[in-house]
Amino acid sequence: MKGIVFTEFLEMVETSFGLETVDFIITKSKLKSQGAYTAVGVYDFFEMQQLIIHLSEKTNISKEDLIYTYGCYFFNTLVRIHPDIFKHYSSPFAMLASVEDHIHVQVKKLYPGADLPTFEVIEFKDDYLEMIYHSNNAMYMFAKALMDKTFEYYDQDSNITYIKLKKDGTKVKFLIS
Amino acid sequence: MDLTERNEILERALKREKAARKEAEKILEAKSSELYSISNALTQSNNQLKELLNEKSSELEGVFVNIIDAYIVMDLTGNVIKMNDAAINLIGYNMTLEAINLFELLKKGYKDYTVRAFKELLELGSYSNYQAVIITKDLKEKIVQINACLIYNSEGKPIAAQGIARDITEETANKEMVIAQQKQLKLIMDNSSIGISLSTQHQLGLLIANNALCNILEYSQEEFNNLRLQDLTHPEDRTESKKFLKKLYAGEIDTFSLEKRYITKTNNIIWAKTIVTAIRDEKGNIEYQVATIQDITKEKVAKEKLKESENRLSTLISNLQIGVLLENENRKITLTNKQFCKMFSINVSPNDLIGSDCSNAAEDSKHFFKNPKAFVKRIKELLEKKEIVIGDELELVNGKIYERNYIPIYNNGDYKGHLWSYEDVTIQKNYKESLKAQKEKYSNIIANMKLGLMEIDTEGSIRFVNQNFCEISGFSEEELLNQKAKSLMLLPEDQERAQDIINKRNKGISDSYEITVRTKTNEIRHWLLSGAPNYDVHGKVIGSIGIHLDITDQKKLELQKEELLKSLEQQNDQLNEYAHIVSHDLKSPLRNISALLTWTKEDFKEKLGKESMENLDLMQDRIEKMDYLIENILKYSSISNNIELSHDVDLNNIIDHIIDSIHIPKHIEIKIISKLPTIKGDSTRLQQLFQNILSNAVNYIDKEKGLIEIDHLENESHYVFSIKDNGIGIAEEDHKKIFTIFKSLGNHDKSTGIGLSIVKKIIDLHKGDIWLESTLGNGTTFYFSLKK
Repeated sequence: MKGIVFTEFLEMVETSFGLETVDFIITKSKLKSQGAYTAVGVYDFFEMQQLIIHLSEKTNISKEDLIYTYGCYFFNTLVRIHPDIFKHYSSPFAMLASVEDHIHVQVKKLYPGADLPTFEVIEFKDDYLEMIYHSNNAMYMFAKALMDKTFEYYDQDSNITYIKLKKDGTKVKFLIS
Repeated sequence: MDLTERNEILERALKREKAARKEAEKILEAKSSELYSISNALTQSNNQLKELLNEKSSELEGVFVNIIDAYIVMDLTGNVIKMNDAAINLIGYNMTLEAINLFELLKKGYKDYTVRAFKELLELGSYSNYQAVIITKDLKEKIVQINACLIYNSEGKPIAAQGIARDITEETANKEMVIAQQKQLKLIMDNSSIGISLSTQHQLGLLIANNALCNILEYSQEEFNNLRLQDLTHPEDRTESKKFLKKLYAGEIDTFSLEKRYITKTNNIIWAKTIVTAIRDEKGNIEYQVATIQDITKEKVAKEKLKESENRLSTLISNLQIGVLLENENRKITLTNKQFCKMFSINVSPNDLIGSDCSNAAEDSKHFFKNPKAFVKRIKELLEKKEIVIGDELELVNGKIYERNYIPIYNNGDYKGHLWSYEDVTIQKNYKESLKAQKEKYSNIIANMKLGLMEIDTEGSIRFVNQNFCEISGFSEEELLNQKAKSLMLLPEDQERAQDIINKRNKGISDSYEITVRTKTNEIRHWLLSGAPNYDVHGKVIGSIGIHLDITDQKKLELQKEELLKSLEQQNDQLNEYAHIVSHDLKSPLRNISALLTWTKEDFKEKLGKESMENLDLMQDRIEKMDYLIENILKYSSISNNIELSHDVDLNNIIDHIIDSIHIPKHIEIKIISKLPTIKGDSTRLQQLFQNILSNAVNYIDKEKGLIEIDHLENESHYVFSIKDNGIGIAEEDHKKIFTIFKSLGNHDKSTGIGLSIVKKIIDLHKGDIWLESTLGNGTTFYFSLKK
């Protein structure tokens, strides 16, 4: 997992819950990296899992909600780093539909080793999109947050529901309208 | 939170930041060293590329740019430095996988030639059309042709040789094949049964004329040097032939085929199928003309005959009174006729149906039939079995009956379609049915009739008898069959006559006669026999059929009647005689009495009183009346059967005569309404008839003014007369009585009660009838008819 995901996560935790919480979750977790993350590095996803579990324990907020909240936070980061990306798409539907075939391709160019989820488009209309999220990291709530924020960015109402095709959340169907 | 704790947190955070920074630096360092080595590699490859570019440009100076042919660069010792895919294909070796030396690939025997060629290449810088045989990796021999030139380095020294190699194995083989084919062609030309010629447009004569052409047209090859095929064309076919040639020369067509006639050297006319083909150059001008001719004289004659017979057949089929439908194996119509279209109300000409699909025909036409489902099912069955089925009977909704035949057609065991034929058998069918009914009817009649029926053959042997014949003859059927009828039943004296009759039948004569037979119980019976000859289907007499009626009882009655008549005649005669005698014997005493009375009256006129004189007068009246009565009895009895009815009698004369002879008082008028006819009859009797009715009418008129009207009318067979009076009339209950003898109603002086009996008798003799209408007090009308 890209280091930026860790650095931004800790940034959010520090802003929201304070440095003590950051210190707590790092200390509590058994991390190979000792919690020293650099945006250009690559770290094991297992570390992120631990950090989230301990944050959930500490704050009494569910893991899903934490991931979702982080997704929303990370969206802003993406907008800050790659503001041009939205110019290519006329609608949030078009944007989301091309995540797999366009955005991820570009990401792969920059970070050949990036471990990305896949989005399989099942049905794509002007006002309806159905796709299947697939990732061993089971960060579908992260994906949902990014989707919600995308609609928000385009200033459009949305109704996004999802069905877990696998219990562990590694395969999830999104119905977007 | 206490300060120490906070410090610790911050220390830890700081430590992490430092570690992160170091990590980042490490990553960056690694990246930059990676970049450095990449940059070095790039510089190196750039130099290599430069070098390569030099080499390349030198290579490209050659003629071999972008080649599809095999391209090989070798050093001056024959080692391959470079080769393209085509080259790999050609020799089978790949330089990236193994080292190749081209000289080693050469087939034995090509070394010296190669050494010389290579030497020349080195001296001149290039070598063209080097040809050699090489052994490829898969050990095949290939003939290659190579064009090569040298490659020089920047100093102008030759460092390598490059060449384009072409696989000419196939080309060489092709060349050899062409030669072989040419030989074959010549063989074919010389041995072909089809005449073949080659000519050009502008040269007289043929360039080539094969043996067959010479044979067909009977000219030699030399003669054809100055002779063209069109010169031999039959004059009648020249116009047509020229038309096509013109088109060929104009470039409108490249070939044409024509059946035309030629005149051979010996002036024979032959039919030949001629195909002329133009062989054009690139510009489209005709280089050569190839003409092939095939003698089809025999085929032509056969074809004409076939066509004729086909025409006859098709006329026959199209006019056949049987509906015909021929389908091919794909159920497409290949032939049908008018009758078929008519039978199924198809308003299209039979020719337009050819090619139509019949897959749905059964469904489409099932409504014609009384049982459409069975029709469709049966068709399906026939088509599946593909076996000949003759005489299926189909009842149509409109009452007609069709007979259908199905005949599958096989050619060498292959199913090629099938033929349907439909025939309207309504009339035959109905005829058959009615024939059957008739036969049954007559069989019933024969079996049940009260007449004996017997069939005998020409020899007189019994072939058939019906039930009644057995009954009247007393014999059983078994006893009769195959017996001679005459010897079995006829009396010996009739045998000869029976043979005559048999002979008559054999001559075809039929008649009726009475015959006496002896039954099984030896009873003698009389039969009336009506016999007729019996014919077979060819009209030949095969015996006779006789109908026998037992008339024994009638015969007996007839004999009795005859006897009765005889005795009646005798009695009649006796009676007539008796009547004459009686009347004569009675009349003479009466006349004597009357004379005596007259004398008495004269003699005793004075002595007798007036009263006595009156009594004497009365006595004389009674005697006169009695005399009259006797005379009338005489008349009645003398009206016998033997009267002449053939004389013409004018009834007007008769009436005039009556009016003159009977006394008619002045107050009575007799009127004849329409002139009476002249009829056939006996004038005396007719006068008696009219006189009796008229006298009656006169006598019984009680009116002051009497009127009697005589009228008549006629119908086909009779004259009907009417005599109407205005007398006293006759009561209804007496109408019948008056015609009986001695029945007189009134007490008229002259009424004897015999008159109307005489009338009735005369009318009977004239085959007529009499009746009357009457109203008491008003009058009576008598009607009577007399046969014309």
